[in-house]
Amino acid sequence: MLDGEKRIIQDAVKGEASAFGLLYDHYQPQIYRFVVIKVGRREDAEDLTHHVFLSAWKNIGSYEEVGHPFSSWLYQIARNLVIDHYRAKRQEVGLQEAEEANLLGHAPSSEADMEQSLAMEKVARAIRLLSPLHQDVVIMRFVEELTVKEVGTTLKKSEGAVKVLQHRAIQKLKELLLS
Amino acid sequence: MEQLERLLQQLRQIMPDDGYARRSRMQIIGFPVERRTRLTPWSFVMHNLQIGSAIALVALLLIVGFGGFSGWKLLSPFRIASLDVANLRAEAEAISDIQVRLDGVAYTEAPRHITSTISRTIPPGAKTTSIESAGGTEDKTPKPLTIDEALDILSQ
Repeated sequence: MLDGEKRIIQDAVKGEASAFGLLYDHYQPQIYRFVVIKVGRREDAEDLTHHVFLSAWKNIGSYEEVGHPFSSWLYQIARNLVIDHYRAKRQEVGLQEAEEANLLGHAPSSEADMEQSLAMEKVARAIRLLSPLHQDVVIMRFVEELTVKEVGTTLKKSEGAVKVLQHRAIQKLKELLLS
Repeated sequence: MEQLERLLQQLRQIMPDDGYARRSRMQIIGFPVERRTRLTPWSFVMHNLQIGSAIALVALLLIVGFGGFSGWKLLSPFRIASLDVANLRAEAEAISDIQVRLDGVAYTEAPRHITSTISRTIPPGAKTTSIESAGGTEDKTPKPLTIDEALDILSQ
């Protein structure tokens, strides 16, 4: 969480662009990771992440402070945009899966880098084979290390339901990686 | 399980391209959004006051527009004195006096014209003296005849 986030959010809600800029700087990388793992293509992820924050900025006036983390709101926008993305490009998804997605965004400089990049892409590809809900739980809990409560708030699930979902998601992921 | 968690944590190294992040940020921040003001009792009162004053102003304009400019007479710095009813009445009376005087002029002019006509129709020396004597011999200046006198003379 950003230092003095409550005040920054209040300023952003009033239309202060600089305040929203601070929120963008803090949350953009994690929203980008969430999107790129789910869609697999950097170009699509960049486009979608841009739209997530543009939508958030356009609708910041309607944001209500009800005790939930600001990231929950951004994740909800991102989830909806990813769903829309898959609906719109359902026929192209097969082709996208076949493409090699360079998640690191730069060419590996060493053999170790290459191995790490391949391992990351293998895990990311396995995550994309999970159901959308399991994908969300795995990314939020194990990549972004959000608490069970935060994940529950974002997904509108109880903490118990999140624990069950994460258990099942990990089991499925293990199977996919070992197969 | 630990190995899988370690692999998943490695995904945290995924970062967006710096150039893309800068461009995206500039575009988003540069996008104009409507400023939102939270509804407070004071803003509520001010909002209603604005609406009320706007309605009152429109009503005033309508009254002025449809009610004519009768107020102008009282309020105008360029008041016209001739529009005063008393002055107008006095002027009208003065005009009727002038007409009376003009009638008198017409009445006194007519006998002169008749006199000259008579002097041309009556032969010289016959009645001229009697006409002149009718006006009196003491006064050398001819006295203007009235129409009745002229008719009496003609009937003789």
